[in-house]
Amino acid sequence: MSRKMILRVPKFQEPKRMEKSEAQRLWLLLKDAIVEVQHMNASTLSFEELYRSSYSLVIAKRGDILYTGLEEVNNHHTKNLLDKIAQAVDERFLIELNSQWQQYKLQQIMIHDILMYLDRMYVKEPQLKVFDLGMFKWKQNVLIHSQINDRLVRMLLGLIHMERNGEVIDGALMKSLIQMYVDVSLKEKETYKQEFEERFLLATSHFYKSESNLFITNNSCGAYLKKVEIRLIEEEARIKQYLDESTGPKLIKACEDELIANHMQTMIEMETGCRTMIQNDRFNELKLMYRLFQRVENGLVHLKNEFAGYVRNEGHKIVNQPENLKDPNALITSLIEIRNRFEKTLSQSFANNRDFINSVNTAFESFLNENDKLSESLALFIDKKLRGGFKDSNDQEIDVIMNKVILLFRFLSDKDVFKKFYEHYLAKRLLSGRSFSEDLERTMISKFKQECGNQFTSKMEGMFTDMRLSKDALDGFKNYLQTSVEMGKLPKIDMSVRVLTQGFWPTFPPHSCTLPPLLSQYCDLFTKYYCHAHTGRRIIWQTNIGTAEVTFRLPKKTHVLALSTYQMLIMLLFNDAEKLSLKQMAAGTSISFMDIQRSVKPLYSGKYKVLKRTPAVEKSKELSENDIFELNLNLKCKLHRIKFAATSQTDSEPERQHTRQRVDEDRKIEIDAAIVRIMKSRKALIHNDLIVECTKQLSSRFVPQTSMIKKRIENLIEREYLERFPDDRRRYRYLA
Amino acid sequence: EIKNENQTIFKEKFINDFQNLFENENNNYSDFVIKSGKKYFQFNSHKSISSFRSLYFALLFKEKSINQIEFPEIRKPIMKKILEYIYTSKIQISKSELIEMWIFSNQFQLNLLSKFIENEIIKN
Repeated sequence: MSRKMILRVPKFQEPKRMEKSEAQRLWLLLKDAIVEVQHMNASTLSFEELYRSSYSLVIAKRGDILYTGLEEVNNHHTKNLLDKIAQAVDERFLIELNSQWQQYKLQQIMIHDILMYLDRMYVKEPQLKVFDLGMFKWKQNVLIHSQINDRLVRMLLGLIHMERNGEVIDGALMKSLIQMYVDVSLKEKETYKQEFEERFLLATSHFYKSESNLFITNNSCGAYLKKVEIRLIEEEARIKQYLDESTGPKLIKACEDELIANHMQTMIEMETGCRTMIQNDRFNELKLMYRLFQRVENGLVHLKNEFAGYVRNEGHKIVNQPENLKDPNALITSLIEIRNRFEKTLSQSFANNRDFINSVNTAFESFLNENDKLSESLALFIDKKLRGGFKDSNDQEIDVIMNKVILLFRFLSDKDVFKKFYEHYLAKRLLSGRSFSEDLERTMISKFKQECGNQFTSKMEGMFTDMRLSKDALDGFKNYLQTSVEMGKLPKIDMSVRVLTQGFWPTFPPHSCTLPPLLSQYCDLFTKYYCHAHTGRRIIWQTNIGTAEVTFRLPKKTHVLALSTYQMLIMLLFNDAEKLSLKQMAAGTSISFMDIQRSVKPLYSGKYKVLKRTPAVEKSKELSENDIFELNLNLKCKLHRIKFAATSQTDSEPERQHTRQRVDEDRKIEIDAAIVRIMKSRKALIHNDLIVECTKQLSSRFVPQTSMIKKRIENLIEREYLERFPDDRRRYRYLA
Repeated sequence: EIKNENQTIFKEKFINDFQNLFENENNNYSDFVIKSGKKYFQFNSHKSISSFRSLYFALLFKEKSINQIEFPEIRKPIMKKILEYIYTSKIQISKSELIEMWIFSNQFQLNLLSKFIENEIIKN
């Protein structure tokens, strides 16, 4: 065991009057000790005695001697230190300053320990605590002294500048010296902020201003972005390594301003900038740009606008490309392609940011509604897919395509036009038996239903119901024929009938034609059967949209021709004639001349020619009433069954016009309904409000023209649903 | 995270253990001795604990070799109560002891304790 060291603690001074000389003696004792501490000779001191002395002074109300004495000693000491430090040259300066500072801090802790009773019982605000007093004296006499402060800051900033240029500096030294500014700050780090931080931030801005200007003019945008990212990471590390954390946000802000905010426009417009990146799908660079722009105010707005502008421009090109205008399939395919492409950009580069998605959607909305062809093109696109275009795709791929269709559909402002076209082509698919799969048809419809509700698809679903009921009706009819008495008298033909509910189906332009007697008889029989089974219903025949199979006997061979009703009627005429002019055909069938033209064309100009034009004329020549046709008895064809197109593939202009007209008719009704609905709930409304409300209600289906709404209002006034207020012509009242 | 619902019991146990540490006379790990009163009654004590609890002791131990401190001016029961407070934070003082306790808790820089006693003195 070590030598026994005994400390005997005598009685502490009682709180009674102390002689001045005694007080002086105690102070000198303490002063000597403090000076020893300041000379790093603390080991010889008796701390118990020192503590007891300071205790005695304080308790005898002589704290003032102690406090002012301490102040003086500190003053003296720091002034001595100043000379010592200021003499150090070059790098020695920082090292000397730092080592003196480290020692000084330790001394102050020790002095505080000795004088803790003074701290606790004597020091009152605004006096500084013992330790703070020490810090204050250092600041006053050393740190902010003209010989130190400026020199120190310049050297610190010089070192940081060197480090930014890639040199290695002493981080620990930096941290200690910079922390000194914080330590000597009495409140809110004011010395640090005033003396160091302000100048540091200024130097930072200055450095990055010149660096970024130089770098961006000599490098690509991508390289610049990478540089910026590295710089920001470096500065983050700098904060952790030797700056006070309160500087962090300010430093980063200063860097962001110089490196990003000031160059945003350049980064967007420069040759290798944002535009090129979007054009070339440079996802990673865009992602970096997004991340960096996100850091500055309004940064993303710039990027977003640029992107949306590009999307709009690309879309605009596609919807106005002449080839695309002719080919709906190509148009929609390219639209789906760019949609996919931009979705990829959104997810890979722009973190699927809501604002970005919305602005891309707005762009799509604007160019998709640029021309009114899109509704029809989209309907045609689906038509083609459902007629067999899906044949080679698996379920998943089909689902993807359907969802893209729905997506494009969502952007259409005139959904009612699309609906009309869709119904039109759906009807054609169902009636001609060309639909590839009923399941797929129903899937597609259910997607529209999800999007727009029951009302939108009720007619389409009605069509499917009709198809099913027609099958039942036809089976019933066949049974009926077998039991019917009249049946015995008629030659047997195979007739199939579809009963379509008016309203579900698009109305086909009514065309009359004369059926051969046998067919008429069958039709009558069906009418009789059906009206008997369903009393109260009326049947209107639309034979013109039907199909027929006709046996075509040639000298050596027999073919079956699959024809439209009109073509059948024309061909039947040749049973009684060898040559017929178009005029004669029209007369014999009661078909309009235009339909005759369209029906005959596939028969003489297709791959298999059952009719011949005599005398032979060039193909391109327009048909005239007096052109004469005869049967082509030399037809060579390996197939037994030959199928002919009813008319040319796409719809003719009149049919399209017809569809549009019907859309307009429907719109009138919708607008009427909307106006009445609104007026019924509001009772009275000003003209403009009514227009706004009406447009809002209908916007999910189409965008009504103001002029049209005005007309409908006039019309409703005439029909006495509404009236104008006599004193204010711009207000309407609902008439119950 | 598991929550200990018997936290108070655990604290109790902690205090009791420290009470034992302070009272056990054959405490081998004790590294210094306090002697108090006219008869120099001996308390075995621990530098680590007393210097953590009292800045005064912390200061004394700056002179590293000290291993016995004598307080002839402090009566044994008062010293005992002060040490008990240092080890366990328990306080058992009679009214007559208040002033004496205040002087020494103040001297030892037991700030919380002296604040408490001040309030008691004012109340009485």
